[in-house]
Amino acid sequence: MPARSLSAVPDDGGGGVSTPEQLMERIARADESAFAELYDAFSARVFGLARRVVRDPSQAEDVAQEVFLEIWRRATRFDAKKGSATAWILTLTHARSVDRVRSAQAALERDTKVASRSTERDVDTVVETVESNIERTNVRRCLSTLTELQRESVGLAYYSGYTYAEVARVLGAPLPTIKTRLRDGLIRLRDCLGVSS
Amino acid sequence: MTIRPLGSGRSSDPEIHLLTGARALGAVDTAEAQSFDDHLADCPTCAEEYRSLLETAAVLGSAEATSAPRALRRRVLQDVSHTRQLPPDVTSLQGRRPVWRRPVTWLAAAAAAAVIATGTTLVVTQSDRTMTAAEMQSCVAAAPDTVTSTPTVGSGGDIRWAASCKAAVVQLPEMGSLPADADFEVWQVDATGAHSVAIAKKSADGSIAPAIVTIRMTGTDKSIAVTREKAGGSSSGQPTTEPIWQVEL
Repeated sequence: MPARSLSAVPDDGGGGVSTPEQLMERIARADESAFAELYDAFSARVFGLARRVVRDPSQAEDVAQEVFLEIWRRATRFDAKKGSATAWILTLTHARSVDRVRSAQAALERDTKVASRSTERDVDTVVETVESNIERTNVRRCLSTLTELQRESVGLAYYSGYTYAEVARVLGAPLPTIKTRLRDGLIRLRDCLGVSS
Repeated sequence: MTIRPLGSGRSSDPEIHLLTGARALGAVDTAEAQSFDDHLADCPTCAEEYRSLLETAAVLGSAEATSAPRALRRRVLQDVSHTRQLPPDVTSLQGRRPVWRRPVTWLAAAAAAAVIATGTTLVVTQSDRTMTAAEMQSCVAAAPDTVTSTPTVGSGGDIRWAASCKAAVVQLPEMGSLPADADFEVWQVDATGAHSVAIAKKSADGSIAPAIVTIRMTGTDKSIAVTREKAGGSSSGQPTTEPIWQVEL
């Protein structure tokens, strides 16, 4: 039996385990036990991604709290036809993490007069040691099949939260080049990871 | 990788379809994101590509998983217990309808992907149908019963599988050379025989794609094997050569 979400909690029917989509459907009906189950399945991913993007663990904790509250509030509007619950949750997590980085940066720019310095964000080059898992291994391996420029662009866009226009500026490349590089890189990752289905 | 036009939208930017990658990575500013999202409505090919890239970006995010502080769980569950949910109907601002009087049409749409199952068997069937490759990978990454098996034929790569997930995640090694008109074919061997699960292609730089193959286990799985077959895979649907890589499960 597929223990989809790590924890086996009886669902409406009184048996089995639930997919994230099934949990979302119950959460949309204000089912708090389904929400707790979803939390247990996703807390490491939500917190881990937030931490990677915002860097500071206590800020990442705030972001994760915000994200889970938003999952609860917006569950009524989740539409499984547009993508998986996993993609929806991680997209939301990424967006809120980037918002946090940007508002911190804006505050820094207000406080500092040294514009040249304050516009530099912490470029992500170091891979932190976190718990190893196969997704991590797989992602690393597939990232290594990208060209260096694709890898760099994808990393700056996703893990450092840059817009593609900022990536272009940082790398000194034309905008259309970065657009296609991000697209080609992600397509290559998709094909390598075998997740197109 | 070649870039081909993906349909034509009403957008003023003729190249807006190229934003699928940037948008999936959350790297497009708000105004442009809006025109891109509008464009998706006119371009099903773009929408499909965007969707698959969103799933890919989610794997990049999932790969960063790290245990959250314990106190967070309590805070989140507390928040939720006194937070009202948004009304499901985006266009309606009435917003005060109790949850049990939500529009039936919306619930029907949500139920399309997540039918409320009533028994163990049904749940299993439903879960199998809705579990994507990315979800199976996450499941195997976190399952307590995940086992790593290494090849008995060939070298490099491995398979991590969990009976509780009914899934196996195959890490293919680079696998050596291949004639120009051939591909690698991945086979799932169970009690009923060999079933083709993937065609893996070798690129000029020596890498193999897909490098990760996710397999839904049948319950009688014996092994996963790779053979060299003609480009596009064996036409008989059965392996025609001896395995060059094999892992027993």
